[in-house]
Parts: sequence; structure tokens; C-alpha cells
Amino acid sequence: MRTIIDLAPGEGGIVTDITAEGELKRRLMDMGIIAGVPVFLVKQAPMGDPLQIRVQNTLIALRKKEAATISIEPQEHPCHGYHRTRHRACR
Amino acid sequence: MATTEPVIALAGNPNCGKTSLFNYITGSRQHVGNYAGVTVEGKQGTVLVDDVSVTFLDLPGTYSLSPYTPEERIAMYEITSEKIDAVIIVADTTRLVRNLYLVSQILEIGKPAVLALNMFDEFEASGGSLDIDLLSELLGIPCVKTIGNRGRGVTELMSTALKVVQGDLPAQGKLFSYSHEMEHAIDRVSAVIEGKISYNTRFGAVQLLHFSDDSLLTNLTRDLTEEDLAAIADARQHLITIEGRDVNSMVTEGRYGFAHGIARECLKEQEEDVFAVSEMLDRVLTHRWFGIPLFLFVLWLMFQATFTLGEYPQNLIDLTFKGLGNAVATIIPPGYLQSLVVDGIIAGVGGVLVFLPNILLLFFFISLMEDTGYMARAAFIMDKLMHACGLHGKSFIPMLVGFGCTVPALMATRTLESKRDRYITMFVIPFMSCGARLPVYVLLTGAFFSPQMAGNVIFSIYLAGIVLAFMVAKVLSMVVKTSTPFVLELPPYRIPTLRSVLLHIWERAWMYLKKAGTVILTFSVIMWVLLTFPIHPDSRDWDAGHTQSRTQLEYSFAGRFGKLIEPLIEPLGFNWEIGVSLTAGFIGKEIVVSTLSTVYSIGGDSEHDGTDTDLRSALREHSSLTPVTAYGMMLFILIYVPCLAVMNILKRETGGWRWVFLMIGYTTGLAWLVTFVFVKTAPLVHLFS
Repeated sequence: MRTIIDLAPGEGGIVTDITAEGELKRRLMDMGIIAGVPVFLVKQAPMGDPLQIRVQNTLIALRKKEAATISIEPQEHPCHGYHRTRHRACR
Repeated sequence: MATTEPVIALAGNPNCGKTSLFNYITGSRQHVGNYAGVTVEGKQGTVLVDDVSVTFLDLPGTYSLSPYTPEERIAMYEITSEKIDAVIIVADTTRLVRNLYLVSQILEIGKPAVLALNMFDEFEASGGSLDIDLLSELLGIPCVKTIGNRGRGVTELMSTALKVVQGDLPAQGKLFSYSHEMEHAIDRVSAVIEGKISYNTRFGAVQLLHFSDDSLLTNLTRDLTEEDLAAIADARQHLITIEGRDVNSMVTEGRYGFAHGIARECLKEQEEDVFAVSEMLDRVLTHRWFGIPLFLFVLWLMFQATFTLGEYPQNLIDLTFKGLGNAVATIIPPGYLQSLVVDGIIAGVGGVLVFLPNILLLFFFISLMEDTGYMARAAFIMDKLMHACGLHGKSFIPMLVGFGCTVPALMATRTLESKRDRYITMFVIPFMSCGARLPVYVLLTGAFFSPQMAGNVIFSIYLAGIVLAFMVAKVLSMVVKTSTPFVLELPPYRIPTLRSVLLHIWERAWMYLKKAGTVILTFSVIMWVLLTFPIHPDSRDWDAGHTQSRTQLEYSFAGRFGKLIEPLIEPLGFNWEIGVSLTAGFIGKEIVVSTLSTVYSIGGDSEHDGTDTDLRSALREHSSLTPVTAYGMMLFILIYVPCLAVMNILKRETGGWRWVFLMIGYTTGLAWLVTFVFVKTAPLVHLFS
């Protein structure tokens, strides 16, 4: 099962499941991380943790421990790095 | 529900510009308070809208309504309460779908609502367009375009909200459907709770299915019987079994489905990525190698600016109070009344107010960082280090502020959302040696250490504080293991309005002043009384200016207290004189120096600071201190109870005296322990001797 921590910066996928429970799961879902949406790893913090991800037009920082609960289906997408007008699918 | 004086709440996601909008609506007529028992700020203000007096209530920013976090609980409670007549939902139009998620929940509650499409200028500028009439129709509530940071659309928003309250505009909100099975479950639960809850039945049913922990929904379940709760649990279980997943997922997907559906119909998304500029900036600001050094540089700038700019008004205030003291001294003849007013009240209150410029400046920069969005990046960068020590990324800045003054540092911990993280941070901030302790360090190192050593000695004290803070935080974090998820939004960078920032500072200044005038004043008088009374029987024979002499001090309550605790502090190498000074340090650490002057009878009324050579020699010759015990005293002062102003703020931020007593107990106990260990082990390794 691939999760967000398996991604390299710039890579992304579609969310398939959240294995977290209770409050954490709710929090993640409230922020827009739900099954079927695209999610991208933007970067890692300078010290390696937390991670910065992008999902449904929102930038979220979360620790690796929590990011590991978000399972994804990796996807090839054309957006690597900086674009002024990012593809809709990659926002 | 009084439509003669309606109350309208403002709700919305964090970072959607709600506060700017609120500021434009209420201006400086806002009143800030705390919700009872919680550290969440509540703001409200009353203004005239079309000749009607309307009260606006600014709710905490939330992504969702739930019984979990204090902010969400409060938002949910307020919106559903009878006293709110309508809700203005503020949305960041550049991220409409995510904002519609909250809208869907508020619509479910059924309270009349208006949607403020905020940041509309940014939305349009980046190529987006929205069919507002269609949106309004699909949602069932009026929608108004607003540009919160420039106040555009505010009047229209207020009038529309008022019309909604008065029933002149339809605003009931359209309902949306969840999955078939979920709807079935909702019907079942609705039948059970119909008429027994104070909320809208449908919303109540959804909440009950969603949150299985009944203890969280006490407001809702108040009038439900055991049977009712059992029936609900049954319906919930059936639903989970049939759909094969948890209710949380069903509810969230239902709501996002609604949000996406609406967006598909009315919204033409922006061409330009809302994070275009932010991404550019973040390449540098959270850069793998430059990110941290840059951040440290920004902080250094902040402190430099605060303390150099702050020096001028600080000196001004200092002079004003001294002048006031002198003026009063000419009016009131020397004696106890004069001493009370000049040494007690003016010195006590002035000593606290002199920090006001620094506090304001610090808060100016902190507000700037918050409002631009940089604060979130700072937490992002620092989190790993902080978390390893049991703290949180957002703890870093408050701790740093603590090096200036603990009072604004504690106030800055408000950015920490989790109670646990916040309290742990508040408990270790006092070890970030504050500015008021420096005069004491300077005095003691000047008296007992050579000039070459002095700098290193003081630095080692600061370092000891930092190390201790991390150690205590680590221990506390292992004791209090409630896990709090770290999920932080990094908003797009935005240019803050000067108006918002200034208003922010104004609020804090006002609170600080009020507290100085009341609590600090009271305690300053109390300390003065303890230091001056009872009056020595021979006092009649002394000259007028002699009210604060060593003999008198020895005879006073404070002096007797010093004698009383002498056996306790003797193992540390302190005697009663040190004991009295330390006790006086409760008011403020600078007072330790002035009390030491009095104790060693360094003459009259002149100011004594840490650089006074008379005081230094007196300490060397007359006190029982040695280099080792002097260092021990500095350690003690570093760790033991923070000053009056801090305890006052702590009481306010934690909502009670309980934590204040705990803080006093634990810091003093720890101070004793650490000092004891040092004083006993240092001679063994011939440190300083």
C-alpha cells in the first residue's frame, strides 16, 4: 500500500483511503483529504519533517507519522515544479 | 430572540479574512473577551445598521463544526443557540469548494444565513468568475461580494444580514442529500429525537450518527433517554455495517459532494493558481538550506527592532514615572503615605508599564507574521526540533519572545490550537530568561566574578534555562500523552492591512493597561505593606527619610518571613536577607536588586541598578554569598516563580488560579532542587572556588 510518505517532492496521486482513526481522520477529511481527490507532495521541511502537501487547493503541513495514514494510488501528472498557471487537476 | 436588537454571528474558515471584515463592521467598537473556561477569544461589537442596533459576534475560525476542539465546539454552540438570529458565513472565494464544506454544515443547522464571498478581487483578478445569482439560488441564501481588507461590500453585507433577520429575504438554506442508506438512518434517528432536542432535527440526527461518543454531545443528548441513545447507536451500527465504512467518511463525502456539485454549476475557476506567488516565495523561505537561517535572521531583525525602537518610549515612560514620583514627593510630606504612593504604587505599576512599548512592538511583528501567513511557515520549519523536545512548531516563537518578557510570550501561545501543546509551552516559557532578570545577573556576576568571566557566566545561565525548558517539556510531554494531530494549513501569502494589525495591538495594549491598573496595583500595595509594616518601635527617633532601612526591613512582615524561611534556604547558602529579596522578586525580578540595596542599607532614595559598585562590595563583604552560592542564586532566580504580571496573565489565559498555584509550586520547587544540586556538587569539582 503506497502512502504519501512514498512520494518524492513533486509527485502525486489519488487518495484511496485514510487509515487513521478518530480525531485525526476527521481532521484530515475536514481539510479536504477524501477518497478520490488528487494529492501532491510539495516539499519536505528543511529538517525532513513535516511534509507539505497540496490537496483541493489547500496547502497542508503534516508530520510523516500522520501522512503515512493516507493511502494513495500514485499517478503520473505533468506538473513538476513551478507553474504560474497550474493545471486544474494538479491544484 | 429579539429582532429589535438582533445578534449576528460571523463564521468561516481560518484565513478567510473574516477578522478583517469584522473589524470593518465593528471598527474600534469591539469588545474582546474570553469564552468562559476556555482560552478562546470572543469578539463582539454593536453597530447601527439602517437605524437598527445590531450586535455582531466574531466566532473562532473553523474548518468544520464538531464537538472536538474548543473552537469548533464554541462555533457550533453559538450558531445553534437561540441568541443568534442569523449567521454571516465568510468564504475565501479563491478556494470556494473548501469553504462550501463549512457552509453545508451551517445550512444543515437551519439558521438564516448570508454568504460573504470574500477576497473577491483576488478571485476575479486571477481569472475566476462566479454566477452569484445561481449560487444564491442553489444554496438558498443571499450571497454578497466583499473585499474584506478594503471594506468593500461591508455595508451591503450588513443590510442584507439585517433583512434576513427581519424576514425580508429568504435565507433558510437548501438541504442536500447524503447516500441512500445514510438518509435512511437519518430518518430513523430523526423519529427518535423529534421534539426532544433544541437543535434542528436533521442536523441533530447527522451529528448523533457522526459522533458516537455521547459524552461530547451533552448539549444535544440532554433530554434523551437511555432507550433513545440505544436506538441511535443501533441505527449507527446498522449504517456502518451496510455501507462498510465509518460514518465520518459518509458525512464528509456527502458534504464535499454538495460543495463540488455547486461549484461545477456556478464556478469558472481561476486561470491563475492562487498559490502562484506563494510558491515562488516559499522556494526561498522554506528552502532546504536557506529556510532556517532566513527565519533566524527575520527573528533577529524582529528583536533588534523591538528593543532599539522600544528604548525611546521605554525611557520616556520610565522618566514619566520617576517624574511623577518626584512630583508626588513634593506634595505629600515624607512618611508612610509618601512611601506608599511613591515606593509602592508608582514604582510597582511603573515597573510593569515600562514594558508596554516592547510588548506592543513584539506584538506588531508577531501580528505581521501571522497575517501575512509567514507564521505557519515558521511552525513548519521548526516543528521537527520542537516536536523532538515535546513541543510544537508553533511553540518556537512564543519561547523566543520569552527572552524579552514572559507576559507577551504567554499571550503569543494562543496560536497553539491544542490545549496540551499550549500548556506545556506556557509552563516552560518562564525558563527563557526574561529581560527583568538581567539586572540581577549583572549585579551578582559583577560582585563575584571577574569581568572576563562575567559574560560567560551570564550566557551559561541563559543556556541552562533553555536546556531546562526542553528537558521539562520532554518530561511533561511524556506524562501527558494525549496525541494531538499536527495538521496545519499554510495559507497563501497575503499583504495584511495595517488597520487589522493596529487594531490587534490596540486590543492587547488596552488589556495590559487595565490589568496594570487593577491587579498589579493591588499586589504592589500588598508587597509594600509587607515590607513596611509592622513599624519598628524606635521609628519615632529616626529621620523622616528612613522609612525603608535595614532595621525596619528586619522588623517587617517580609523580613520576618525571610527569617522564617531561612532554614529552608540555608542549604542553598542563602540567609534571611537573600530570602527577603527573593520574596520581593514575586512582584518583579528587578525588585530583587532594589531590595538587596535596602537590606544592605545602601543609603537613601537613589536608584540602584546592577552596576552599582557600592552594592557589589556590600554583597561581597556583608552577605554570606560566595561565587558558588551567587551562581546558585542566579539559577534560583532563573527558575523560580515568574513575576506578578506573568501570574496574572496565566490566570487569565488558563481561566483560573489553579494553574497559577501549580506554576508557583513547581517552579519554586524545581529552583530549590537545581540550586541545591549545584551548590553541593560545584565545590566537589572546584568550580568557582
